[in-house]
Amino acid sequence: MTRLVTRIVVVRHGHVDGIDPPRFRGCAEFPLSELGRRQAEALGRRVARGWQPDAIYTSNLSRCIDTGTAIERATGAPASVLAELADIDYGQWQGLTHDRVESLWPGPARMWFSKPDMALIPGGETLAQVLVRVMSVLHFVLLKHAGQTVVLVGHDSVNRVLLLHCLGLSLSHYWQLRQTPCCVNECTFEDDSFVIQRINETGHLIGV
Amino acid sequence: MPAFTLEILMNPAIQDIHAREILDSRGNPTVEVDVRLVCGVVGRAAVPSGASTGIHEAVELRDAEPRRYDGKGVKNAVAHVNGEIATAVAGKDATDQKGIDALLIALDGTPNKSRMGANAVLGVSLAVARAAAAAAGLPLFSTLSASHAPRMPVPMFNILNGGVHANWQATDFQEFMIAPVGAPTFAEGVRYGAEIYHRLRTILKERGYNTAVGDEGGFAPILKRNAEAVELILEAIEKAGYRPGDDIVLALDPASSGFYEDGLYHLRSEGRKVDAAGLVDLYEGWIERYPIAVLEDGLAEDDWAGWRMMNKRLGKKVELVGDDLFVTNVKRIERGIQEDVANAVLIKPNQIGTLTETRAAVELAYRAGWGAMVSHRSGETVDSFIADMTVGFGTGHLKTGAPARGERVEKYNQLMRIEEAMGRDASYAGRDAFVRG
Repeated sequence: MTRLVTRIVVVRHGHVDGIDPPRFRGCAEFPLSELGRRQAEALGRRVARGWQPDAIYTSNLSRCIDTGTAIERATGAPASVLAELADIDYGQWQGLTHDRVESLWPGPARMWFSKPDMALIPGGETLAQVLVRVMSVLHFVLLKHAGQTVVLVGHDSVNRVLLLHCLGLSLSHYWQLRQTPCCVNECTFEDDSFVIQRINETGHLIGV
Repeated sequence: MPAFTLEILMNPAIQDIHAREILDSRGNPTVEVDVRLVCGVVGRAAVPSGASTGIHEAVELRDAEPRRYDGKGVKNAVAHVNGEIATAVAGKDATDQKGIDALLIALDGTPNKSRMGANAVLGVSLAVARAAAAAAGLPLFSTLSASHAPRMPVPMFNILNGGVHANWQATDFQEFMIAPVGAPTFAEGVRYGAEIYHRLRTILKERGYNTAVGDEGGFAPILKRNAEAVELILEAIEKAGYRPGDDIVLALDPASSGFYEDGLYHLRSEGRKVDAAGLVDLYEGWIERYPIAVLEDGLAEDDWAGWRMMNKRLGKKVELVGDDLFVTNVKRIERGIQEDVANAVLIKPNQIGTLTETRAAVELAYRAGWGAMVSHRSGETVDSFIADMTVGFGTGHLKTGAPARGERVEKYNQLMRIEEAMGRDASYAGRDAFVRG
């Protein structure tokens, strides 16, 4: 069979108010800040310079939808919401600051920051559950967009899990990958394996 | 921004079906069907139509309304798809081809698809298969499988026409085909065929014959004798630089039901009538003289006794293919196997009406050690479903006209695309295409 290269450009949404102090945002709505909007425009230009995407899929949260819309404007590729790209469900932690969670759930919080693959978030998702979602998205992309270029606009959590899976690393390495707002990651799928082309690239955000 | 979940984007259930009346290559109406799945993919198929049709074929529903297309309209078949069939299959899983086809057969309720029309039923059946392949992100050929491994077929180019395809103005026999068995690949086989086709045109022109092409792209000159057709083709093969018998073998489809009258075969061009044994004498002489590997419809569709005799005399030497005799129908093929009348079957999906039944016919032939040759119809569209089906079912040979006319070459072109896509996995059937010869 002819070898097809499927290219997956994974980006994170732009800056939102509420990043500082650190907070478990998860499925809560936090719109893009002014800075986030400028970052999204810069990201759109960066994607248009580097690729000609066939499709853009974004998480169902407005910070990703708006970031994806900026990429859609810059590239002309059609953007759609794909619910499975949603941020991790933080359950009872959602919307709370890290300090607050650490004081209310010291054991599970410690586990989350030291052994995230083992952590059980009260009422929320485990990273393993996020991985199942992410793998479904990968299966979908490789099936429907074989040989094409697809942009996925996601969150810190889903992006890290996706990249770890592509690298063949366990979820215990979750904290060892950084995902800056509006960063660019790229992986290709060829000959039945993933190759990481770039991780957390942010040069396009200089001066934004 | 449109919003989806993977449950929707991966859902192969049928959302809706829409049929329309389009034209075939002869300017007659035919049925085209679009099947849309919940996941958004659309499978489309258009139904072909035969000129020389066996009386036992599934029924192609025509409107018989004289003011539209001389009665050949297919609005009723289209209405059956858009009404009853669309309602029945909505929500059904397109990957369940057997289930969908069983539903279509039950919905029609007749043994020969005469209520809905085989043209309505087949359009849906094939479009469902296309949609299911698209939903799985797979090329169609890879989703169509039988007990024989997939392989690239030998193209059986029908380059010289007579019989009803030439309005009985030329040879009595309908099709004279060349098969490039010595080519290393399918694409090279196409090149051999096209070069011989062009050489034949030059020869015909030089001899003052008409070089206009018939329905299937072959030439239809008014020749003096049936054997002259074979001799002209052999000359074209040699002048193109190929060796008859090594690089190229011949196949004949006399379509003898067309000249079978009152128990005798009427060879108009030779001014004589012969019985089955007399016609087999003629074939036997030709097989001795010419590199013929395949003889299709050598005798008429209900001349079972004649076929049995022909198989005894010729069945060890050449592939004897039944078309009008079997009409891709397992009951008739079963009888053929029991009565030992042939050693191969012609496969035309529109003779039977569903993909599942077509596959069953191929499987039955394989189980009996018979060959299976896939065929187009004389009224075609650019739909190339049979190209993928031939590879998937591994039948090893197909006939889909001359290397000319868009609706014919589209099948050959699709096969070249498949061969390219398969890369080193592609295996050209070559001489192994035939059970004999």
